[in-house]
Amino acid sequence: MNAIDDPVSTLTEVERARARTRASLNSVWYPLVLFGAASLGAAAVAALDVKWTGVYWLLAYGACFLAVRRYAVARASRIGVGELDSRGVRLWLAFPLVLIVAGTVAGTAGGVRGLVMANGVVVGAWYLLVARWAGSALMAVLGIAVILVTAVLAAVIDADNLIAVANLAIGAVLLAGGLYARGSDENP
Amino acid sequence: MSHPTTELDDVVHQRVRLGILAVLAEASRADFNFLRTTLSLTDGNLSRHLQVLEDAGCVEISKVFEGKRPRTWVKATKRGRAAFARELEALRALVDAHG
Repeated sequence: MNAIDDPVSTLTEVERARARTRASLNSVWYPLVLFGAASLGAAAVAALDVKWTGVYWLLAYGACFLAVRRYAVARASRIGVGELDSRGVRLWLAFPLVLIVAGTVAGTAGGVRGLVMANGVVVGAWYLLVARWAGSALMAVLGIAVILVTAVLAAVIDADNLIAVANLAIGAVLLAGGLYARGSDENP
Repeated sequence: MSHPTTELDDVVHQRVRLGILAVLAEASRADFNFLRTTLSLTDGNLSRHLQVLEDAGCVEISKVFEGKRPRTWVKATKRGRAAFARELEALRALVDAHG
Protein backbone atom coordinates (compact mmCIF):
# COMPACT_ATOMS: atom_id res chain seq x y z
CA MET A 1 0.00 0.00 0.00
CA ASN A 2 1.29 3.45 -0.88
CA ALA A 3 1.22 6.53 1.28
CA ILE A 4 -0.82 8.29 -1.38
CA ASP A 5 -3.81 5.95 -0.84
CA ASP A 6 -4.66 7.56 2.49
CA PRO A 7 -2.41 10.52 3.23
CA VAL A 8 -4.13 11.41 6.52
CA SER A 9 -3.60 8.00 8.12
CA THR A 10 -0.08 7.84 6.64
CA LEU A 11 0.81 11.15 8.28
CA THR A 12 -0.68 9.87 11.55
CA GLU A 13 1.42 6.69 11.35
CA VAL A 14 4.55 8.68 10.57
CA GLU A 15 3.96 10.91 13.59
CA ARG A 16 3.34 7.83 15.74
CA ALA A 17 6.63 6.23 14.63
CA ARG A 18 8.49 9.47 15.33
CA ALA A 19 6.88 9.80 18.77
CA ARG A 20 7.73 6.17 19.64
CA THR A 21 11.34 6.80 18.61
CA ARG A 22 11.55 10.03 20.64
CA ALA A 23 10.08 8.21 23.63
CA SER A 24 12.78 5.53 23.32
CA LEU A 25 15.52 8.11 22.96
CA ASN A 26 14.24 10.10 25.87
CA SER A 27 15.80 8.81 29.04
CA VAL A 28 15.86 11.79 31.34
CA TRP A 29 16.41 10.08 34.67
CA TYR A 30 20.18 9.87 34.48
CA PRO A 31 20.91 13.55 33.72
CA LEU A 32 18.25 14.59 36.25
CA VAL A 33 19.83 12.53 39.04
CA LEU A 34 23.32 13.74 38.11
CA PHE A 35 22.35 17.41 38.00
CA GLY A 36 20.24 17.02 41.14
CA ALA A 37 23.27 15.64 42.99
CA ALA A 38 25.50 18.35 41.47
CA SER A 39 23.08 21.02 42.61
CA LEU A 40 23.11 19.65 46.17
CA GLY A 41 26.92 19.77 46.00
CA ALA A 42 26.67 23.40 44.82
CA ALA A 43 24.52 24.19 47.86
CA ALA A 44 27.27 22.85 50.12
CA VAL A 45 29.94 24.85 48.26
CA ALA A 46 27.80 28.03 48.42
CA ALA A 47 27.24 27.52 52.16
CA LEU A 48 31.01 27.32 52.70
CA ASP A 49 32.07 30.14 50.37
CA VAL A 50 29.66 31.43 47.75
CA LYS A 51 32.38 32.82 45.47
CA TRP A 52 33.46 29.29 44.47
CA THR A 53 29.98 28.31 43.27
CA GLY A 54 30.59 29.45 39.67
CA VAL A 55 33.84 27.50 39.37
CA TYR A 56 32.19 24.48 40.99
CA TRP A 57 29.33 24.56 38.45
CA LEU A 58 31.69 24.80 35.48
CA LEU A 59 33.56 21.70 36.66
CA ALA A 60 30.38 19.86 37.67
CA TYR A 61 28.70 20.65 34.34
CA GLY A 62 31.69 19.30 32.41
CA ALA A 63 31.74 16.13 34.52
CA CYS A 64 27.96 15.66 34.12
CA PHE A 65 28.21 16.17 30.35
CA LEU A 66 30.91 13.50 30.02
CA ALA A 67 28.95 11.10 32.24
CA VAL A 68 25.70 11.64 30.30
CA ARG A 69 27.51 11.17 26.98
CA ARG A 70 29.02 7.92 28.17
CA TYR A 71 25.64 6.77 29.44
CA ALA A 72 23.94 7.73 26.15
CA VAL A 73 26.44 5.66 24.13
CA ALA A 74 25.98 2.63 26.39
CA ARG A 75 22.19 2.93 26.40
CA ALA A 76 22.03 3.38 22.61
CA SER A 77 24.07 0.24 22.16
CA ARG A 78 21.75 -1.63 24.55
CA ILE A 79 18.37 -0.59 23.10
CA GLY A 80 19.47 -0.16 19.48
CA VAL A 81 18.68 3.47 18.82
CA GLY A 82 20.15 6.91 19.11
CA GLU A 83 23.26 8.22 20.77
CA LEU A 84 24.13 11.81 21.52
CA ASP A 85 24.67 13.21 18.00
CA SER A 86 26.58 16.35 17.06
CA ARG A 87 23.42 18.47 17.35
CA GLY A 88 22.90 17.19 20.90
CA VAL A 89 26.53 17.93 21.78
CA ARG A 90 26.19 21.49 20.43
CA LEU A 91 23.08 22.03 22.56
CA TRP A 92 24.91 20.74 25.64
CA LEU A 93 27.76 23.16 24.97
CA ALA A 94 25.47 26.12 24.18
CA PHE A 95 23.36 25.73 27.32
CA PRO A 96 25.95 26.88 29.92
CA LEU A 97 26.84 29.85 27.70
CA VAL A 98 23.19 30.96 27.71
CA LEU A 99 23.12 30.42 31.47
CA ILE A 100 26.29 32.49 32.02
CA VAL A 101 25.14 35.35 29.77
CA ALA A 102 21.65 35.46 31.32
CA GLY A 103 23.11 35.24 34.84
CA THR A 104 25.66 37.99 34.16
CA VAL A 105 23.12 40.37 32.62
CA ALA A 106 20.47 39.74 35.28
CA GLY A 107 23.07 39.70 38.08
CA THR A 108 24.40 43.10 36.99
CA ALA A 109 20.90 44.54 36.93
CA GLY A 110 19.31 42.77 39.89
CA GLY A 111 22.12 41.46 42.11
CA VAL A 112 21.97 37.97 43.60
CA ARG A 113 18.18 37.77 43.24
CA GLY A 114 18.46 38.65 39.52
CA LEU A 115 21.22 36.08 39.00
CA VAL A 116 19.30 33.26 40.73
CA MET A 117 16.03 34.14 39.01
CA ALA A 118 17.69 34.27 35.56
CA ASN A 119 19.33 30.88 36.09
CA GLY A 120 16.04 29.38 37.29
CA VAL A 121 14.16 30.72 34.27
CA VAL A 122 16.82 29.46 31.79
CA VAL A 123 16.89 25.98 33.37
CA GLY A 124 13.08 25.83 33.59
CA ALA A 125 12.66 27.02 29.99
CA TRP A 126 15.18 24.40 28.82
CA TYR A 127 13.20 21.66 30.57
CA LEU A 128 10.00 22.92 28.95
CA LEU A 129 11.67 22.73 25.53
CA VAL A 130 12.84 19.17 26.25
CA ALA A 131 9.31 18.33 27.44
CA ARG A 132 7.85 19.59 24.17
CA TRP A 133 10.38 17.71 22.04
CA ALA A 134 10.14 14.45 23.95
CA GLY A 135 6.44 14.65 24.81
CA SER A 136 7.39 14.29 28.47
CA ALA A 137 4.85 15.49 31.04
CA LEU A 138 7.43 14.97 33.81
CA MET A 139 9.90 17.38 32.21
CA ALA A 140 7.12 19.96 31.78
CA VAL A 141 6.22 19.64 35.48
CA LEU A 142 9.90 19.93 36.45
CA GLY A 143 10.39 22.98 34.19
CA ILE A 144 7.47 24.79 35.81
CA ALA A 145 8.54 23.63 39.29
CA VAL A 146 12.09 24.98 38.82
CA ILE A 147 10.78 28.41 37.73
CA LEU A 148 8.18 28.61 40.54
CA VAL A 149 10.54 27.40 43.29
CA THR A 150 13.21 29.87 42.15
CA ALA A 151 10.71 32.75 42.06
CA VAL A 152 9.38 31.98 45.55
CA LEU A 153 12.88 31.60 47.03
CA ALA A 154 14.11 34.80 45.34
CA ALA A 155 11.20 36.61 46.97
CA VAL A 156 11.48 35.26 50.52
CA ILE A 157 15.10 34.20 51.21
CA ASP A 158 17.72 36.80 52.15
CA ALA A 159 20.37 37.46 49.51
CA ASP A 160 23.26 36.06 51.60
CA ASN A 161 21.75 32.57 51.70
CA LEU A 162 19.80 32.62 48.45
CA ILE A 163 22.34 30.83 46.23
CA ALA A 164 22.83 27.97 48.71
CA VAL A 165 19.10 27.58 49.39
CA ALA A 166 18.16 27.79 45.69
CA ASN A 167 20.74 25.11 44.77
CA LEU A 168 19.49 22.93 47.62
CA ALA A 169 15.83 23.25 46.61
CA ILE A 170 16.42 22.81 42.86
CA GLY A 171 18.75 19.87 43.57
CA ALA A 172 16.03 18.20 45.62
CA VAL A 173 13.44 18.80 42.86
CA LEU A 174 15.70 17.34 40.14
CA LEU A 175 16.76 14.38 42.25
CA ALA A 176 13.14 13.53 43.10
CA GLY A 177 12.15 13.93 39.42
CA GLY A 178 15.07 11.77 38.29
CA LEU A 179 14.31 8.98 40.73
CA TYR A 180 10.64 9.04 39.72
CA ALA A 181 11.65 8.91 36.03
CA ARG A 182 14.02 6.03 36.76
CA GLY A 183 11.13 4.01 38.18
CA SER A 184 8.93 4.55 35.13
CA ASP A 185 11.61 4.17 32.42
CA GLU A 186 11.22 0.92 30.46
CA ASN A 187 14.88 1.02 29.39
CA PRO A 188 16.81 2.73 32.17
CA MET B 1 0.81 24.93 -10.20
CA SER B 2 1.62 21.19 -10.18
CA HIS B 3 -0.52 18.65 -8.35
CA PRO B 4 1.02 17.51 -5.01
CA THR B 5 1.20 13.90 -6.23
CA THR B 6 3.87 14.87 -8.76
CA GLU B 7 6.16 15.66 -5.81
CA LEU B 8 5.88 12.14 -4.37
CA ASP B 9 8.98 9.96 -4.54
CA ASP B 10 8.39 6.41 -5.76
CA VAL B 11 10.94 4.98 -3.33
CA VAL B 12 9.84 6.87 -0.24
CA HIS B 13 6.08 7.02 -0.47
CA GLN B 14 5.64 3.34 0.31
CA ARG B 15 4.32 3.18 3.89
CA VAL B 16 6.95 0.88 5.42
CA ARG B 17 9.81 2.80 3.86
CA LEU B 18 8.28 6.06 5.02
CA GLY B 19 8.05 4.56 8.53
CA ILE B 20 11.74 3.59 8.44
CA LEU B 21 12.72 7.12 7.43
CA ALA B 22 10.39 8.53 10.11
CA VAL B 23 12.30 6.61 12.80
CA LEU B 24 15.64 7.64 11.31
CA ALA B 25 14.53 11.28 11.15
CA GLU B 26 14.48 11.30 14.95
CA ALA B 27 17.53 9.19 15.75
CA SER B 28 21.10 9.42 14.53
CA ARG B 29 20.94 5.67 13.90
CA ALA B 30 18.81 2.65 14.74
CA ASP B 31 19.52 -1.05 14.65
CA PHE B 32 17.58 -3.68 12.75
CA ASN B 33 15.78 -5.00 15.86
CA PHE B 34 14.66 -1.56 16.95
CA LEU B 35 13.22 -0.82 13.50
CA ARG B 36 11.51 -4.20 13.33
CA THR B 37 9.91 -3.81 16.77
CA THR B 38 8.96 -0.15 16.42
CA LEU B 39 7.37 -0.66 13.01
CA SER B 40 5.92 -4.13 13.79
CA LEU B 41 7.56 -5.81 10.78
CA THR B 42 8.94 -9.23 10.01
CA ASP B 43 12.65 -9.71 9.37
CA GLY B 44 12.10 -10.41 5.67
CA ASN B 45 9.81 -7.47 5.13
CA LEU B 46 12.16 -5.04 6.82
CA SER B 47 15.19 -6.41 4.96
CA ARG B 48 13.46 -6.01 1.61
CA HIS B 49 12.49 -2.39 2.25
CA LEU B 50 15.90 -1.50 3.68
CA GLN B 51 17.48 -2.86 0.53
CA VAL B 52 15.27 -0.62 -1.64
CA LEU B 53 16.16 2.41 0.50
CA GLU B 54 19.86 1.56 0.40
CA ASP B 55 19.83 1.09 -3.39
CA ALA B 56 18.21 4.52 -3.70
CA GLY B 57 20.89 6.08 -1.49
CA CYS B 58 18.39 6.99 1.24
CA VAL B 59 19.99 4.95 4.05
CA GLU B 60 23.42 3.58 4.94
CA ILE B 61 23.55 0.10 6.39
CA SER B 62 26.52 -1.13 8.37
CA LYS B 63 26.89 -4.69 9.61
CA VAL B 64 29.23 -5.00 12.57
CA PHE B 65 30.13 -7.49 15.23
CA GLU B 66 29.70 -6.33 18.80
CA GLY B 67 31.46 -9.00 20.79
CA LYS B 68 30.33 -12.18 19.07
CA ARG B 69 26.94 -10.76 18.16
CA PRO B 70 26.27 -9.50 14.62
CA ARG B 71 24.44 -6.24 14.49
CA THR B 72 22.96 -4.17 11.68
CA TRP B 73 22.88 -0.40 12.14
CA VAL B 74 20.91 1.84 9.80
CA LYS B 75 21.20 5.59 9.39
CA ALA B 76 19.50 8.01 7.03
CA THR B 77 21.67 9.75 4.45
CA LYS B 78 21.33 13.42 3.62
CA ARG B 79 19.43 12.35 0.53
CA GLY B 80 17.11 10.15 2.60
CA ARG B 81 16.35 12.97 5.05
CA ALA B 82 15.63 15.37 2.18
CA ALA B 83 13.39 12.81 0.44
CA PHE B 84 11.50 12.21 3.70
CA ALA B 85 10.99 15.96 4.25
CA ARG B 86 9.77 16.39 0.65
CA GLU B 87 7.40 13.44 1.01
CA LEU B 88 5.85 14.85 4.19
CA GLU B 89 5.43 18.21 2.51
CA ALA B 90 3.73 16.61 -0.48
CA LEU B 91 1.43 14.53 1.73
CA ARG B 92 0.45 17.61 3.75
CA ALA B 93 -0.21 19.51 0.52
CA LEU B 94 -2.34 16.61 -0.67
CA VAL B 95 -4.36 16.64 2.55
CA ASP B 96 -4.77 20.42 2.32
CA ALA B 97 -5.80 20.23 -1.33
CA HIS B 98 -8.52 17.70 -0.60
CA GLY B 99 -9.31 18.71 2.97
